[in-house]
Amino acid sequence: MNTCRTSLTVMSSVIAGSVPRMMSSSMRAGAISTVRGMATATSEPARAANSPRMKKFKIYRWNPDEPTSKPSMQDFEVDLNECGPMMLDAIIKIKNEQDATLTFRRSCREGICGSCAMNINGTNTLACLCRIDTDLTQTTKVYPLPHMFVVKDLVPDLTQFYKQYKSIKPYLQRKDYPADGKETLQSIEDRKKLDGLYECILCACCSTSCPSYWWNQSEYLGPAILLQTYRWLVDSRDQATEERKLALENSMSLYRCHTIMNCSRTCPKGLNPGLAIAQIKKSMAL
Amino acid sequence: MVVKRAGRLTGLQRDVLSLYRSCLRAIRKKPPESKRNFLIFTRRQFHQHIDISKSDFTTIEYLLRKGHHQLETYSNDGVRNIAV
Repeated sequence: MNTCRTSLTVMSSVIAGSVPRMMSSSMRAGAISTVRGMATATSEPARAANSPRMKKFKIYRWNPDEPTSKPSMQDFEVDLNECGPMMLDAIIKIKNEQDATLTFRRSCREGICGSCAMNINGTNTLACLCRIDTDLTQTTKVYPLPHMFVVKDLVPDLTQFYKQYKSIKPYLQRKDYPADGKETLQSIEDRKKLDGLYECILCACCSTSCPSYWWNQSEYLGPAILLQTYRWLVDSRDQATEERKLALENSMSLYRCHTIMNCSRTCPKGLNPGLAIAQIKKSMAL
Repeated sequence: MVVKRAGRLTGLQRDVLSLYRSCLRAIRKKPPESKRNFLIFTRRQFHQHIDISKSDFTTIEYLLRKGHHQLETYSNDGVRNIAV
């Protein structure tokens, strides 16, 4: 780093003719950064002339250390020129620069872990996949996932959700294994049946968008869990299909679904829990 | 939430007392040398919020939920002591 900076200061005082000699003598990496250094030096005045694009955010805040206080919306303003394109970039920037007490879950920043699920402008999505609406006249409203108990600010309490996931036994159940002791084989057609089911990252966006799940959270399993039940029902390697179906034989676990279809509409990964639930209902009836 | 007329308890007050009783029952199962630590911790947790108005249902219900969560975690047999 130091080598490239000194060569930059030397280069700025040297005429263009001797530049190739400097570049051949310095390291390859150093040469590239000196050229890049020169490039930004000329374009910086042009960037500074851009006026800041201030976007307004309203973010839900609640502190459990003051349990008697009511939740409130706090206003923030972020310059979009200094911020990445996604909502998560803006929220992290707010936490870094404006209010360090803002609390939220995040991990992969690429839409694969499912940690940053929240309600942005009325839709449940992942903050890392939701682009900031560049219309500066509108305020973006950020809430935690709806109808969930809140641990703090934007962090929902997902323990019930995980308990429901555990209850469907989301693992391969077999009575016998192949005689040669090798893999349980599956045909290509049977593997295709799992497409659209295994990609679920359990972000809870769909379940928390379902009004039926809001009103019956303790007994109705919800679209996310039912999608995973279907994933195990349709897996040809699994031999506990009858037990899995038996577990759904009551009025609440599966049949609280009234095909509202908010789940498929809101899934940030583009999956279709509503269709999976319909397939389960069909297989239960036949 | 201070209980003044101990004769007539409201539903919420009964829930709080029932939680306290469950905590005491869980403490009885802890190893003898750390029982006192658990007792101090429990009493401290309840005493912290003694000044909440008895009509502030949302706060009391939130604290009851939090208390039940903590009880579920701490009543695990693996938890043998607590720092006070």
